[in-house]
Amino acid sequence: MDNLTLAKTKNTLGVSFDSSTGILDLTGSSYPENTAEFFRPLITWIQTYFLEVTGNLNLNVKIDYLNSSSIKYLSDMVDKLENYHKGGGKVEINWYHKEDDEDIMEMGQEIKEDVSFPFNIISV
Amino acid sequence: MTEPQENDPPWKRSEEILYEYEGICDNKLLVKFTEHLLNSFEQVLTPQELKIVMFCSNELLQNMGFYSAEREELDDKVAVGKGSYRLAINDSEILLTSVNMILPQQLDKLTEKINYYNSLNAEELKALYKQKLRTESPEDSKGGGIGILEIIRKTKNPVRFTINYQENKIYVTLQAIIRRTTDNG
Repeated sequence: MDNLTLAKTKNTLGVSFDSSTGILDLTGSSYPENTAEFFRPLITWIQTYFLEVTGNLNLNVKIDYLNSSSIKYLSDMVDKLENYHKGGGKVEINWYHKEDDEDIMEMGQEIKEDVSFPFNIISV
Repeated sequence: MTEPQENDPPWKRSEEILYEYEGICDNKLLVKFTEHLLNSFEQVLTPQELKIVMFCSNELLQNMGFYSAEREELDDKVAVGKGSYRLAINDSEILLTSVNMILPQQLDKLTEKINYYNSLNAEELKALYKQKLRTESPEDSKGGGIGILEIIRKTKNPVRFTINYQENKIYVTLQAIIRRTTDNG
């Protein structure tokens, strides 16, 4: 399975999904022109990983800003991880936020409420 | 110009306009405006205020781009909505205002939606937010369908919503209000 790498831009996230390690990194800000067009390949990659690789998955989220439609797609991604975990897969999210960024911290806390796998909120 | 009075509603009080825009609300504008916010307002707003202003501005501008009935076709033949946006500040509040034209058939649904959101308390808003995250966006929604809901949650205030009729056209004004705390300076 191929890795998925997208360079960070002013309004789209940097993406590094590694199929050999199961380590997925999301960095930066997200308010794309077409949110669905940006996030669909990411969600498809994760679904393919669950089917073909069936390995552990570690998602590192280091975001500065998400618009509302990006929040919705990220939430969808987390739901896919939760389903994988419920089916016996090993999943973990590390959610990073700047010390003074309550917004991103609270966003992480709300997502954490709805998952049963390890979800670490880390202040940097 | 009349002097602001003590009993005036907040939006009539003296305020400093930090940013004003009128025109096409496409993604290029969002990128430019976000850069401008991050580069120019660090000294004026606290980090927390800056994040909320960025979020609300982005949602209001994007809403106009998606849903304004006044549209202009760009080079790539995509029609983008037009409207006006203003970021203003006074001693106690940050006011983010968008004005755009809507179609008569959009009015009832929009009014009903905003009045409903404005009537909810924080817990009810959170429950609705989580429910909407897990449901498909409505067919007529071009975003995530949670923008206004999130503006209310992040500002911790109802959005101010007014309708104006001008020459058979309907204009909707949406105003997000961020109350400044004393230690914000």
